[in-house]
Amino acid sequence: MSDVPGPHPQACRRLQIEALRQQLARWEEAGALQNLRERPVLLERNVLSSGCPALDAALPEKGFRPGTLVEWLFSREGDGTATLAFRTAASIVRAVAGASRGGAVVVLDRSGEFYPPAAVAQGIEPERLIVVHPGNKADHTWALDQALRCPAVVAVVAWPDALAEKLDGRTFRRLQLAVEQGGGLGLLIRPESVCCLPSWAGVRLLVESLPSNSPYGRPRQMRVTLLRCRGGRGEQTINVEIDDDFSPGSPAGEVKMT
Amino acid sequence: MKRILCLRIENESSGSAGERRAGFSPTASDGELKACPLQAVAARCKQFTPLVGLDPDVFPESVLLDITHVVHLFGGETALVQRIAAELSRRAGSWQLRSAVAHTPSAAWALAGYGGEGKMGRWGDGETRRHEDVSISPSPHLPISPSLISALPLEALRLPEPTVALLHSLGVWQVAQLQALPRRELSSRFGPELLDCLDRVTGRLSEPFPAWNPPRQFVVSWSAEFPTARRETIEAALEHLVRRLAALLTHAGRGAMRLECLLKCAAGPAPFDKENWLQVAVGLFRPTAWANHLAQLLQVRFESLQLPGPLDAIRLVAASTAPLELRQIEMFSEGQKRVSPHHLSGLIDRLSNRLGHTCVMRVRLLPEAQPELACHYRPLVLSRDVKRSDLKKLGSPGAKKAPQKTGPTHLFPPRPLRLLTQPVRLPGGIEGQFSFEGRRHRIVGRVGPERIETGWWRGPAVARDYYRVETATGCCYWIFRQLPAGPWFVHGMFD
Repeated sequence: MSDVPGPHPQACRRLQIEALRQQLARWEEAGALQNLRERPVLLERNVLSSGCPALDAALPEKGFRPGTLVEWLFSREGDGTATLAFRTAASIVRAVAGASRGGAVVVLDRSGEFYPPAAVAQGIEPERLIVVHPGNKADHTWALDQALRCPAVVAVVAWPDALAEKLDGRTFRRLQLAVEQGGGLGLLIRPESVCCLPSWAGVRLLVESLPSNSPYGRPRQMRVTLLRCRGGRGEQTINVEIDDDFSPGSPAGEVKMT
Repeated sequence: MKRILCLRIENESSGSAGERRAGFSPTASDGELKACPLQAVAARCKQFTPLVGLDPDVFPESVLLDITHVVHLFGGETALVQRIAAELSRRAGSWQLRSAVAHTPSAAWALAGYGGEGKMGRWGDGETRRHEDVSISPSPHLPISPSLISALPLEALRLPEPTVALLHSLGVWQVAQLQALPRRELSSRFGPELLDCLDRVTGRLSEPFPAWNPPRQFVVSWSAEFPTARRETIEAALEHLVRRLAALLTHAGRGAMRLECLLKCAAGPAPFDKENWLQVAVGLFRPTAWANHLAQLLQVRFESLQLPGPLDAIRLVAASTAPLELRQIEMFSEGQKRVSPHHLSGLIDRLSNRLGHTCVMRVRLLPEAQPELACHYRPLVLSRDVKRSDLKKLGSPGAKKAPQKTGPTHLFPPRPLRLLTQPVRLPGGIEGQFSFEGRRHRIVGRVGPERIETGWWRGPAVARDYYRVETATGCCYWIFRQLPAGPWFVHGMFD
C-alpha cells in the first residue's frame, strides 16, 4: 500500500486511513443489515434512545441501533456511569412496554453490589430484572454470551467487576455476534483503563463526572466522550446533566442538554 | 348391583425402617411407592380389577376395588379377598387389613372400619397369614343386610365431628337409633349432610367411585455391555435416552420440570450414594419435552462432571412433570418471528443449571426502610416446584404494576446503584473530606441527613443518618453516621 501517490507521507497516510475507515464502515453496514434481516425482530423501531437527549443528539443515528454492544468506560467510582447505562436500559424497557412479549433486563453482577431499588427507581420494573451472580470470569463471559443471544432479553448490563481486564479478541467478537443475533443491547460497564485496548463494541463512551457547583450535589454534571462509534466521527465530547431527585411517581428525572 | 370391596389398611409402622426392610425392591418406581403405602397397595390391586379407588381425604386409610364383574374370575368374593390378602402379605410389611364388600363405597368403608370386632386379619412379619376373618356382606346377590348397617356406630357414617358430638350428647350412638328418628326433622336439625351420609351407606343415594390411576412414570434406562469411560459413548447413550424420554413425555402431553440422571459407576467411591448411583439433577423453569433443550441442559451439567469410574448404566427419570403448554403455530409468521416465551425460559434454564439455582435470581422489593433489607432475591428456578403464576409475570410487559411493590421506594430519596455488601468504616471521620480506599475525597456538596431508625424487633436497632455527598471530582457517595454521634461509614456509590 506504500505506492499510493502523494506529495507528503503524512497526508498520504491520512488519506489511506480515511479510505480504510470508509471501507470498514461499508462492511459493517452490510454485515449489520444482513444480521438484521435474519434475526427475530424484537424491537419495531430501528434506533433505541439512550434515555438522554444530549447523548442521542451526539450519536450519528440519534440513538443505539439494536444488536449493539455499548461500552461505558468509567473514570472513577461513583461518577454516574452505571446510572447512564441503566437509564438506557430503562428507556429501552419503556420503548418495548406493551409492544411485544418479552423485555427482560439481565444484570450480571459478580461482586453482589448491584442494588436493584436504584434500577427500579430509574423505571425498570422488578418483574423484568434477572440478576445473575456468576462465580468466576469464565462463567461471567458465558452467561453474558447466553444473555446477549436471547431475543427475549432487551438489555444486558454487565457490572464492571469481571470486565476490568482485557477481553480477548475472539471472546469479544463472539459477544458482538451474540448481541447481533439477540437484537438487544449489551451495556458493558468497564474501567477507563481498558481505553487503549482494542474493542469490538459498536459504541465506546467515556464518562467523567464534573463538579456540579451546587451545594446539594445536583443536578449531576457529566462529560461523555464518544471514543468510538460506528458511522460517526470519533472523539466527540458532550456535557450531560442529570437530576435524579425526581418527585414521587415520575418515571425518571429531567435530563437537559447544556 | 355394584359390588365394592374396601380394604382398610392400618399400617402399624408407616414410614418406619421396619416397613422399608420388608420386601420392597429398591427400584425407582417402588421407591416412590414406598413413600405412600396406600398408593402401593392400590397399584398392586390393579391386577385384580381395572377400577381401583383411592381418595385419602374421603376414605382415609382405604383402598376401594370395584369387583362387580370380576368376582367369577376368582371363584367368589371370599376367594378374591383371600387372593388379594395373599398378594399384599407376600410383598409388603406388617399391616392390619380389614375388608368388607358392599354395594356402595361408603357402606364398604363403614363395614370395613366398624363392622364388628374380631373380624380382622393380620399379616406380615411373624404374624399369622391366614385371613378367614374377613367380613363379607351375607350374599353376593343381595343388597347389604340392613342389620349389619344398623349395628354400625355413628362414626362409620363419616359425619363432621360437631354433628357426631351433638348426636352423642343426645344419646344417639348407633345408626339404628338414627334411623328410628323422623327423617324430615333430622335434616332441619342437623343439616342436610347427615341424611346424605346416612343414605350413601344404606344405598338410597348413589355415590361416585373415586377411581384412581397410578401416576405415569417417565423412566428410561440404558446399560452398557461393559463399563465404559468414553465420553463419546456416554454422550451418544445420553442423547438416545433423552430422545426416548422426550418421546414418552410428548406422547403423554407432559413436560419435564425436573430431570434426574442416575449414573451407575462400576468402581465408584461410596460417598455419593450407597449403591454407587451418582445423581445429576436438572431443574427447569418451564415444563418442556423438547429433546434438544433437555440434552443441552444435561450436557452443560456433564461438562463439569467427574465420573468416579467407568460407567455401567444410566437411568433418566423425569422426577417432576407438568402439563405441556401447547401453542398453535402461526401460518404467516415467516418474516416476523415473535419472541416466544420459551426463549426466556430456555435462557433461565441454561443459566440456572450451569451457574447454580441460587445464582440466577428475581428481584422483589420490600417496603423496608433499612437499605440492605429492602431488596430480596429469589431463585428463578426452584429446586422442587415453580409457581406457574410467577412464571407468567416474568418478562411480560408490566401492565399491572403493583403500586405497593414499587411505591415505598419512590418515597425514599434516591438510592445508589451500588451498595456495598458491608458498610466500610471511615477511620478518620469526616471534616470536609474523607479517605476511602486509599484516596482522599474533598466534600463539596451534600444532601441529607435522611434518618433511618428501624429494626429494633430484629435485635440491635438500626439508627443511621444517611448523607449523599459530592466530592470535588463530582463523584457521589452514600455515607452514614451511626447514631448517636458514632463512627462514619461508606455504604454505597451513585455509580
